[in-house]
Amino acid sequence: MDNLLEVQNLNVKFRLDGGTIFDAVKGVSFDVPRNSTVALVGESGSGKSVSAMSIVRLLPAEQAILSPDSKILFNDQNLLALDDAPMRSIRGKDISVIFQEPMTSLNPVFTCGDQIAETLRLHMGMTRRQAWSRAEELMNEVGIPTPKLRMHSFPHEMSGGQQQRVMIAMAIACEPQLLIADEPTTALDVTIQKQILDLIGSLQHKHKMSVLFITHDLAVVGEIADRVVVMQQGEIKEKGTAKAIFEAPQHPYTKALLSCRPNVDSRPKRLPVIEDFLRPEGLRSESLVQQTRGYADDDEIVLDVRNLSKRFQLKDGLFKKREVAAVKGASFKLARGKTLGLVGESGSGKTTVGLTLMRLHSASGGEVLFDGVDLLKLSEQEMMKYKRRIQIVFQNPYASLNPRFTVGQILLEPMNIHKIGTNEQERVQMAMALLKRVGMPEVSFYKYPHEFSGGQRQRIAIARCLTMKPDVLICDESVSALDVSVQAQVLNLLQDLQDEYKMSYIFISHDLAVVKYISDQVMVMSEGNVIEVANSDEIYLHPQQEYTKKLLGSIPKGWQEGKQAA
Amino acid sequence: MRHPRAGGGPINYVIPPKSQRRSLAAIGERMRHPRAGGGPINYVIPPKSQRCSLAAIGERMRLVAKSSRAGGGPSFLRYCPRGASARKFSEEYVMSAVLNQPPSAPVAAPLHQPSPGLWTLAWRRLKRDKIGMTALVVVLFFLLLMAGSYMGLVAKNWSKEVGVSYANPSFMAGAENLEAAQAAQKDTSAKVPFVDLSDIDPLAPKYEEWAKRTAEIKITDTPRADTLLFGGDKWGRDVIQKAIKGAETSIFVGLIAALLATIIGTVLGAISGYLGGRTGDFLEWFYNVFTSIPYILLILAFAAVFKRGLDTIIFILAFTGWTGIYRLVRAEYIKHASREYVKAAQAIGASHTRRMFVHILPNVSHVCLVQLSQHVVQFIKAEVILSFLGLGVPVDSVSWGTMLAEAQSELVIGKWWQLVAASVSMALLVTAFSMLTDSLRDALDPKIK
Repeated sequence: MDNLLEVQNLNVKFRLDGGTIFDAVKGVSFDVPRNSTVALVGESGSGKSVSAMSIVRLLPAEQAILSPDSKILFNDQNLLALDDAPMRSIRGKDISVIFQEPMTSLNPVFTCGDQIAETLRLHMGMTRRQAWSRAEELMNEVGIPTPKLRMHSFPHEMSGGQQQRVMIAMAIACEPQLLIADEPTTALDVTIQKQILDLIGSLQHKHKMSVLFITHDLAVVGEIADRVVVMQQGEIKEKGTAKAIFEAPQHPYTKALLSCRPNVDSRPKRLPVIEDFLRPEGLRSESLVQQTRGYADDDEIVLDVRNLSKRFQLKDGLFKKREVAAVKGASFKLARGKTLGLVGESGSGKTTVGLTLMRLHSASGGEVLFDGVDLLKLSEQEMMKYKRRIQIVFQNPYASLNPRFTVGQILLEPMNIHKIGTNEQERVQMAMALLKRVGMPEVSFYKYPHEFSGGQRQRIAIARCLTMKPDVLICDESVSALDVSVQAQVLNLLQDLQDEYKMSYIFISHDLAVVKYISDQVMVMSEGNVIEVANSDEIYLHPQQEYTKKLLGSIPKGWQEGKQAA
Repeated sequence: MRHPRAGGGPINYVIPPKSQRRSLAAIGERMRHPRAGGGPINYVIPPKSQRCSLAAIGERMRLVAKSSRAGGGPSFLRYCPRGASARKFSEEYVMSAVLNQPPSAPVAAPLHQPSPGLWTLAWRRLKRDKIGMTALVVVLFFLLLMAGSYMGLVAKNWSKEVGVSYANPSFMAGAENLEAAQAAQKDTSAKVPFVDLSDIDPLAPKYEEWAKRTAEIKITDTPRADTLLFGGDKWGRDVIQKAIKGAETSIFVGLIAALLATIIGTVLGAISGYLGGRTGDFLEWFYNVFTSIPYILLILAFAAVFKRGLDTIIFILAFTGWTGIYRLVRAEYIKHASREYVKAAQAIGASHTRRMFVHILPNVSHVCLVQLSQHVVQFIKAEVILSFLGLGVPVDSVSWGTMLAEAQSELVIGKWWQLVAASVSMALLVTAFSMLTDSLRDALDPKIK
């Protein structure tokens, strides 16, 4: 088969602050055949984006060192040896790139039409008028409704999905032979993700181009890729056809990646993690046993939320105010020791529900009965007693820990505020014990958050909540920012802690598979309304509402046998 | 308990009483950045007599950690009680740790090394910056000079008239000094030649007695030097000593006023940025009205109302100089108030004050610090201007500003050294301080990491 792109022995090092050298990519070789989709899969730090960016030579010139024997052959021409000017004419014309964040990749002060037309004028030598009409055709092709009007829209006037469509229109404008898509759907909702994936797939067939698709999500890969390259820490662990990778993975890391991620169809007691696959004795027995979930009739109800609503006041003009309802009359019950999953797309009000429950936002109406006491009616002082009993773990582990506090200070602070423990020594001991409990070494006590990885920081955040021994823990997208293998570890930890402390969770996520795995009951929200509440298996097997069906239908199915034949 | 490196006597190690005992890392931490305003824990630094050097603490920690590792237990750091051997202590600790945890889970505890905090990292970056370090040395030199002159170690006798009027600098000793010559002539011409008037003077018989009594009173007419190291001023005072004494006044005014202005600006900015709403609006209005008055007029108005004196200048500068700091700190607080770590602090029940000053302040402290040093420079210059305009320090003291004001008339008669002494030392300090500020900003900016 003739290859469009051959990456041979690619070595990339980075010069770091303080003169240290970091090996980002170590001797990576792979091919991209013509007219096919190759997926580059790996977790953060695996070097997948660095490999892709070195193809278009978009690495920071001061820091990146490419070794001289690295070769990137594009149509048998070594891109690494090219001068800047010919490289610029290849980049954007023969090879184009779609980035992860459509909002930051589009220039906010030019209209979308201008930005597409600019590419055409630069690379295709079109006149202004030709470019404009071609841009309109492209807008139509990527499925933007009323392209004539939308040509004049600024990026902020469009939704995230539409922005990504504009990016794709720019990328395919010059009929590239190779399209590099760097996590193009990670920032998008699941229903939009499906549309964008379908779009990329159909464009690839239509224009007979090759796609290098970079992602961390194997389920997405299974949907679109012909060939898969699995990377970890700058090295290729396994490469092959999608069929081979999904049906007969050879490397333990690939096996682990395939099974770390919760799956809609099965629910093991314990998610397998990468270590399980590297051990000689194989998987733990808990990973093979299925867990049943759901509310029982005799469950004790900890939290009874009735008709909770929240309206935000927005300024409209100079004096006028406009009200936006973020949550419209949500009612649900949370049982002790059980998990309620909250799913919905962005803007559905699921996070607002969590923050309003804790009174981090003041509610506009409704009742939150916690052991029979309405939290919303309590004064600030009376609320202090209950604050420690409802806690929250935020989404971004990099932002939710104060960078100027040591882990010790972070853990001791809530105990000092709520007068937990009789003296400092006892508190320190409790903090140490909790650190151990969440799987962190005791030395972490003296370190600062920036010394830890995302997963470790999320463990620290969980330990901070545990210092107060809460009855209810709200996890607001707590595992969404983590790599799949780390996500599995944190989910296992949450499950263990729930079994041990009998905590109840409100698990907020846009990731339907994760919610299905961890939840006993699931509440689906859309635009502030509660669409459906039911036991988790019930809702996934027999969704009652149209919206729920649509949402479930958009979950990437991963590899399915027979797809290739079709 | 032996010190392994010194290979000799025991460490003089005083252990604080139990009530004051804290974890070592906490104390080390606290000592490392006392300005951070403390953590959530009210760590008490042991009284001075009970404090030991950080190096000693580190050495001790290493030892304890090592021996406890040898014992197979987790490493954990505390003060070793005096006299107890590290091994015994760590064995005890391991025992207590074992009691608290299932023994089946031994932790492979790595050697504890106190992690570099953000301030340590900043210091390391600053140390790599050659310009920054040079500037730091210059600034420290000036600060030492100021302390020395304040304590009377240097430039104590700056007001002594040790030279002739406008004494020449010693490197141009031969130059003509008309003023000194004129003054000397005046002295001699005052002594009128003696005329015998005894026959008509009724007081003549007493002259002899008076002359005798005059001789008894000692007149110590200090010999005035013709040249001084860097010249003298109109009254023959040493210019170098004047410049040193002037530095004391100027730096003192600059530092204290900048400190006050930073405190006012930070507190108001924190309140306005964090609370927002009506309070924030009110402060914004106040700020707008305040800054609409021309700056120099405002200073002159204050200066005219209050009596002259160092405290007045400091007050004026601080009270008019907080506005820029307020603006910047407010912006930082608005940014940080919506960060997740502040929300997390709210979730665990931290009060508003705590969130404002314990959580957010350390994260915006680099802004305050850089503003502080920039304002020191600005206020040193402002004091010079005020003194130059005659609204500055009282007449009986000296600052760089008064020196420059005097130099104005001296230049006309060609006496340039007072101007040079004041402006060179000022330029040196201000430039060094600005460079230090730049380096500090680079070293402290968490975005660079």
